[in-house]
Amino acid sequence: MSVTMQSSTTTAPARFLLLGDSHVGPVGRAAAAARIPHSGGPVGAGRDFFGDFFDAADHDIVFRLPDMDHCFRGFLTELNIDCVAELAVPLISTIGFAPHFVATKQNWTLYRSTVCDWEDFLSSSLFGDIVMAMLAPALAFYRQLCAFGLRVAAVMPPQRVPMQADADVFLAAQNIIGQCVAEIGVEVIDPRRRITDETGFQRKELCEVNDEIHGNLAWGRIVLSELLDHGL
Amino acid sequence: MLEARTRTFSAIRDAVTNASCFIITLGLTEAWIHRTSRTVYPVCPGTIRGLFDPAAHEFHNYSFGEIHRDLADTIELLHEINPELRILLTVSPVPLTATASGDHALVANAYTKSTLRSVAGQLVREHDQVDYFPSYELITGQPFRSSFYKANLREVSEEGVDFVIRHLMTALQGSVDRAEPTRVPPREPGGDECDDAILDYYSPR
Repeated sequence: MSVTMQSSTTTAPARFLLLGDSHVGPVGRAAAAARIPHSGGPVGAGRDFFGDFFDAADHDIVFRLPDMDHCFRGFLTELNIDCVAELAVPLISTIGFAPHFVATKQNWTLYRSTVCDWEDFLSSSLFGDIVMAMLAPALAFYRQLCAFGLRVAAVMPPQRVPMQADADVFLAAQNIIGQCVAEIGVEVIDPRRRITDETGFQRKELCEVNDEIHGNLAWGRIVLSELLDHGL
Repeated sequence: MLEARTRTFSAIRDAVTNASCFIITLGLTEAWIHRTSRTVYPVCPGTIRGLFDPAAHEFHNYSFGEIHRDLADTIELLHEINPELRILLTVSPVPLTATASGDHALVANAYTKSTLRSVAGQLVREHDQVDYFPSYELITGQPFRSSFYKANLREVSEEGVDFVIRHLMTALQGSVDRAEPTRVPPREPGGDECDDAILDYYSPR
């Protein structure tokens, strides 16, 4: 990924650092539109965070992908700090919150066709363990940030399930993801009540056009207001 | 040596007679055989003990039919001694890293594991008292991304063993941990536009 830093650099002190996958984009745009000083943005696609993607360093983390780490270093420079442990403002992330990737249909076809009770399977310890095994690198990331004493918040994803994902798995997996990071000490920002309709999925007016995964700027505004409600 | 063998056979007979469940883990299809006596060796002669003699020792890669016949005979023998005995089949997730078959080790491993897994499945279909536990799938399945292997990508880590045993015990107890599920049906068509979304963030169109 070769990217140019967005003009989110401001002279006013940033209120938070955004660091995540593509879902933080609308949140950053909403913050910029609201003139809320912040730093950061997406550093990779959701799938990039399901393998080992970082190494812990002295008071810092180092992303294994050079472009990703270069982007991250740029954010720290904006904030006038040398390492993430020096971060004085909250870190807001979406890393690991890509249940559409976890829910890729091919991964679950076997279980759908063989388990006696699909509902029971989705609430079973086996299902939970599979999701947690996929999530292990992201959980390690959050643990490391919390170990630095940072205030960390994670945002639940847009409630959109692309065609290649299993909707039941998406919904069950995101609950497990949220629960796991909360247990680590991460504040989970959960706007689902405000962004879904009677189907339980994202309201159409909050969906990015020509896109089947992301929320739009209006979704970002709702998330931003939730962040502000949490005092972030 | 004969006395030790007698003691070992007695111990096996006692164990089979008193057991309620007998677990058989299938490892590999490749073996070495004595050309005259047809004795099957546990490892290739000359590797741990003895000397390898190509005139006396031959390599054999067992087929589905041979393994199925041998295991069916084994099951019959076990049930002659203990008719109530239940048999649980598993396949070892430890891959071959060397082969005498002449194939690449990856190809040889796929043959070995798929053949053993197929035999296990066939026997389960044919015998009421035979079942299969998917420890192989729990370690090698793609959702786990090889995370239960040690750094050498061959041996299973302690975490992996714990993972399998926990599910085995849960299955034996017939229990399922439950959490509160919240699920609703519909879905939308889609693709992966994450890269475009990131590029748009930094270079708005």
